[in-house]
Amino acid sequence: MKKIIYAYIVILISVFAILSFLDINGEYPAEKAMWKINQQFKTIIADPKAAPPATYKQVTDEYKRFIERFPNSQLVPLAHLFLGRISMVREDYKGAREKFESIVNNYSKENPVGLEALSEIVRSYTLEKDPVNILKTYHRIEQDYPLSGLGLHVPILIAKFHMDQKNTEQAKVALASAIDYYRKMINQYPKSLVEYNSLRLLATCYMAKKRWSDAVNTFGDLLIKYPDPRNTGNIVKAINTVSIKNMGNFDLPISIYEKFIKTYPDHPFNEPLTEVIEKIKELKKQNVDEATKNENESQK
Amino acid sequence: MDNIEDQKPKRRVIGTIRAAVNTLMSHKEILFPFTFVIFIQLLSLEILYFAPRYPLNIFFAPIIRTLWSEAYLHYPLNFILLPKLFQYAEMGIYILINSFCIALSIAKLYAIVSDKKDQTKSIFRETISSYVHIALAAILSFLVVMLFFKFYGLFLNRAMKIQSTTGIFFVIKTLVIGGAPYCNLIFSVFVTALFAYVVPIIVIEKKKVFTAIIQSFKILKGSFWFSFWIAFVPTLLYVPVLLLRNSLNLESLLPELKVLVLVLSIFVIVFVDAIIYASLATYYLSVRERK
Repeated sequence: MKKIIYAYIVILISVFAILSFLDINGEYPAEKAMWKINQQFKTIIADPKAAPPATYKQVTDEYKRFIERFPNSQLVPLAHLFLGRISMVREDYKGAREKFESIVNNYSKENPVGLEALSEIVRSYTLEKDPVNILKTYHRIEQDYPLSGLGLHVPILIAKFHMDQKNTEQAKVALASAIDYYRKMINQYPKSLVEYNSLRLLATCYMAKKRWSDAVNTFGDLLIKYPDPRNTGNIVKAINTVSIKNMGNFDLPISIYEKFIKTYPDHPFNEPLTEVIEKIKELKKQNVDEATKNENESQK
Repeated sequence: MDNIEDQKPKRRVIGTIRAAVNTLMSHKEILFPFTFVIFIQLLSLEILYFAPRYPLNIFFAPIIRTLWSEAYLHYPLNFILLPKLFQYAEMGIYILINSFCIALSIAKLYAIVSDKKDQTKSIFRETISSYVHIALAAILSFLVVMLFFKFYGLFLNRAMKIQSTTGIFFVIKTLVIGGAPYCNLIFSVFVTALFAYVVPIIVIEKKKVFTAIIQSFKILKGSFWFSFWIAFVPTLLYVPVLLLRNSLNLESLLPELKVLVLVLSIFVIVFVDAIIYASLATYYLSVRERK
């Protein structure tokens, strides 16, 4: 019996050794190594001032060793990105930007790490309070990655940037330009994620300009064109808030929801939407009754 | 005149378990089939551990991607899926291998009690001839356990909908959700007791599965709670492992610790099974002797 037990142990150890060896420089060991280094980096980020310089050096060396050991891994661009982020944590913004620029130059625009690096460059200029270069980098993102999530946000981010800087006129111009930009994207990329995001951002621009009716109609378009049940709840909330609270208009949301139910008679959201319509009608009636009551009292 | 009480074998839970453990220690060959169970379970855990890695990912990656998500093919999220995959593997191993190995051990124990201990090959041949019935008994007990899990799942789903964060409903929600692993354990013990003597009867009396179930229920009529405690007491050894399994936080500790806990649970479960079935078989043999 002892011999058989030893045989079991030998088989288990052999299988483990063989399978480990076959994938020794594969993607999984790279992920494991990266995870371990990132855990060390997290301890630095938790309290950057408390971390001794030796820890920074150790983590930096680990990332460099990772790049040498797994040169073909898909995680190498991330390792470069983390090297830049370590410099950011040390407030060496110039050094960080050099690393991020090398990522942008070395990797094709198809690789999302380039966009991530540009986003970090924006962050570094924000921390340095350098508005000129923040805007320059936003424009770079818009030019090089126009259809990405961040790229689409750039027009509205520029408007927000001007608002934060209290440049009211420039903010107005930026918002108007953003509205034109999103309308163009909606026409150019129908039935796509780009159109979906552009509609959302266009509605946000209208709300910033207090063009409530345009905002509600844009949300209505979004609801009808993209009836994914995961998003309908949030869009309905936005329509209700803007229509009822900001505009005092009860009929506009009802017409949008009735159009939705007619377009998608079997949609799973129709039942709750019908309840919303009833509630709005009730609210409208209460509102009318109260308005009438107030009018009568004022006439007295 | 014979006293009826003298005809019933003495039912002392701790005494029976102690006698079974002594038998196991003094005749370690009874444990041999369990070592094979441990080996098979460790081997399957090893294979699943390497499932996201080359070359096993050629086979496993499409399955994991389709049934779950691409994320579980990467470190460290693969350790979230690993216990689930192992649980599915254990189901198959329990029905096809565990149950047979338990039957082999019972047959060996019977042979030792009947002074036939040197007939290993004939014991194996005789037990394997009842393999289908043994596997069927395992499937039936497994189905009963699954039925309970499904039933408990209804309570679980209802408890998840409770929104209260204080008061009696919150207490109920916490008990139902937090107590799920322990309820599952107790019910598994209950089912073990329900099917306690089926495998011993199949192996020793050479009966078919449904006859064995009926005869087992006849024995259980007067001794269900005794059989339940026989199954329950050794199962308490698994509670610390269960506490450890439920308390490990992936983010804060080394993810590989989940694997070590699974390895520990394999050894503990097999050890507990060995004690339970040796005890039940010992009691069954004493009932048989009295008849």
